[in-house]
Amino acid sequence: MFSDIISLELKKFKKIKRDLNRVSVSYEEINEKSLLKNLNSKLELERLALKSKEITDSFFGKTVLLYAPLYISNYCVNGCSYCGFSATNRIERDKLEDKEIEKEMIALKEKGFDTILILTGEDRIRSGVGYILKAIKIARKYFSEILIETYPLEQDEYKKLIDNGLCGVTLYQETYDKNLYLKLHKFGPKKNFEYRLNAIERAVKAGIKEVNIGPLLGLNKNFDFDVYMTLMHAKHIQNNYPEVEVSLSYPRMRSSVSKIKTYPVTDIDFVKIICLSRLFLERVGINISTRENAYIRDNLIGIGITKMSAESKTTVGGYFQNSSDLKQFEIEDSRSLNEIIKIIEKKGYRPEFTNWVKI
Amino acid sequence: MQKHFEIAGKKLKSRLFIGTGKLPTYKIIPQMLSRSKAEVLTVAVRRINPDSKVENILDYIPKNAVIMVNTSGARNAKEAVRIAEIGAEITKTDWIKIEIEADTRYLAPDNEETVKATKELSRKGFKIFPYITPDLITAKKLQDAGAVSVMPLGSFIGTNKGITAKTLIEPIIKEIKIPVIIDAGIGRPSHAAQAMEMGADAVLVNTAIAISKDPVKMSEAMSKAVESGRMAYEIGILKEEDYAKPSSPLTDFLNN
Amino acid sequence: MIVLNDKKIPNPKKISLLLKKMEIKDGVCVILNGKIIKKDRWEKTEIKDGDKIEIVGFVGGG
Repeated sequence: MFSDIISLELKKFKKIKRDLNRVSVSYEEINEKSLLKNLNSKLELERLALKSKEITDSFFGKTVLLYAPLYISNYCVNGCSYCGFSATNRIERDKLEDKEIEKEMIALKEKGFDTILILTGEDRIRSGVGYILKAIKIARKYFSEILIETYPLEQDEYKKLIDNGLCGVTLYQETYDKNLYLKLHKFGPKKNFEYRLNAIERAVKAGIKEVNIGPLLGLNKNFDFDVYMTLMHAKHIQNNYPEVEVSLSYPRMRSSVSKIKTYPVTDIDFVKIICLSRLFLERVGINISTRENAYIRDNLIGIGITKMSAESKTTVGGYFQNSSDLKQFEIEDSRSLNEIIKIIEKKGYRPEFTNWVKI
Repeated sequence: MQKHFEIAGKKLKSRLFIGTGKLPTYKIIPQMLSRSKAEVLTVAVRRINPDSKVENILDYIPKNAVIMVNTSGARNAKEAVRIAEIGAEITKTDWIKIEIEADTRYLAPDNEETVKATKELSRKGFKIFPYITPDLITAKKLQDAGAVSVMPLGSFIGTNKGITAKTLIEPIIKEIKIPVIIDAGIGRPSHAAQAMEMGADAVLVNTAIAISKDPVKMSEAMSKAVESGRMAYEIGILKEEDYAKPSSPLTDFLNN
Repeated sequence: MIVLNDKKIPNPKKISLLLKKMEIKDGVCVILNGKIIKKDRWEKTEIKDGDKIEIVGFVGGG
């Protein structure tokens, strides 16, 4: 499990970081050393982006996968100081019942989506595994591909969901720096660093086809650490479970709902991170959400990303009925699916709505 | 140069086969075929969702094109056989490319499972084009199993590295009697020409055409390279020599 | 109710009717309860409640 080797990775990181001045910047095949060097150096961005593009096009083709996120419950017992859903925030808590879930899904289906990401906050009582299972069963009526982004589950819980149609699990470690992690998650089940870290592997052992991982950029002053560890985590899964499709996401914090000091990652660094991830792990998927604005998203199409969410609402529900609830994070790109399709096609790429419909 | 070459009971003029994966749009397929004069296309098999916004690729494939069904997505022989039977049912084609992979990092084909699937599908009357990591022993087994061709990879899919497996492919071309089609890794026309100069009967190109700035032109470029490479092979390619050879042999006078 | 490509839908009773509704004339393979149903049987084959159907076609591929 990754938690067994993370301390080794940490040692390796520290060692490389110490001797970074002996490593050169590289734009071709990069390893752990040149990765870290690149993250900490000024780079010829155009050159980097071109290489990233070549690799992405070659392995993924001229396509971008589109999906829609659906929050079905924002009940949460954790106190993540950076999240709108934190238990410490006095917000209206909401949870969709079956009929409402179905209405939201139908609305998304009618827009044209075939891949859905179902999200909940962490609350095993109000949004327990049974509740998630029901949502998956409903989703199965409408979508070819179903993913969840919920709290970490046990292996047998993942298995039950997989047996009922679950294709993928998204789970962000937020930060791979355990000390920082513990400071940010002072109470609630989420404070267990290793339990969260190993959840992805539990899902993989249960038979999941696809996983999405990543840090929350902005939490850690040293973003290179979290990017490096994310890539080591991804590499670990790819090497040990070569049948699983691994994707990365690098959500950047927006300060509006955070109570803590954040260290915003610049646009230049963000693009660097995406391109370097592509160079380091050629066949890893890279996702970009609507946290990012239209300008950034559009310009990243064709540089390294392979999937995007569209028409996102980070309130509970919100597609069928407009919601005035507090959002988990602010949406920067609120364009419709059709608008996003047009941009993708304009860039010479084909929008895809699913990639798993194997027979 | 021969006008046609025969493979699996069909007479083809073009030794360029084109893969349709990774394309930005299916709309360019007719032009790709007409410009390159390629006759064989591969397609993959997937569930069709009635309400999806996806174009049907068959709408863009000319009726006279030869469709080869690719079993990609199969992780073992059983899945490949199933996909082949389903694919063959769609257009009554019996040309099947067996592609069996269980590794998303390299997409390395599973040679063993490929032999299994070939045996079963050949018995059922399909024309099997198995995609393999170049291995002479596997190629012999496939020939014995009734495959109509072997398709050794030039380099792993999408890597565009050219015929890096050259030394492993050469014995296959030399020893195997069924046509050898080099598939995967051809990133530029010179790679395609090299494949033909080596004596391959045909090449399959996908990524390099699909992701190029102008897939239609690139398919034409590939086709020209395939033609020139084949022409040179048929004339007889000069061997690469380690030492310079003077045009007038030095010791010829002794023969007088 | 039947299951079409993993989704529950009302029983269309006949394959030909289902395809007509989906505006599909040909270019697909129909699999009923795991068995391929050839095109010449689309009109005759009856679909029973609880049946599982997959509609499969071609997409771009190498």
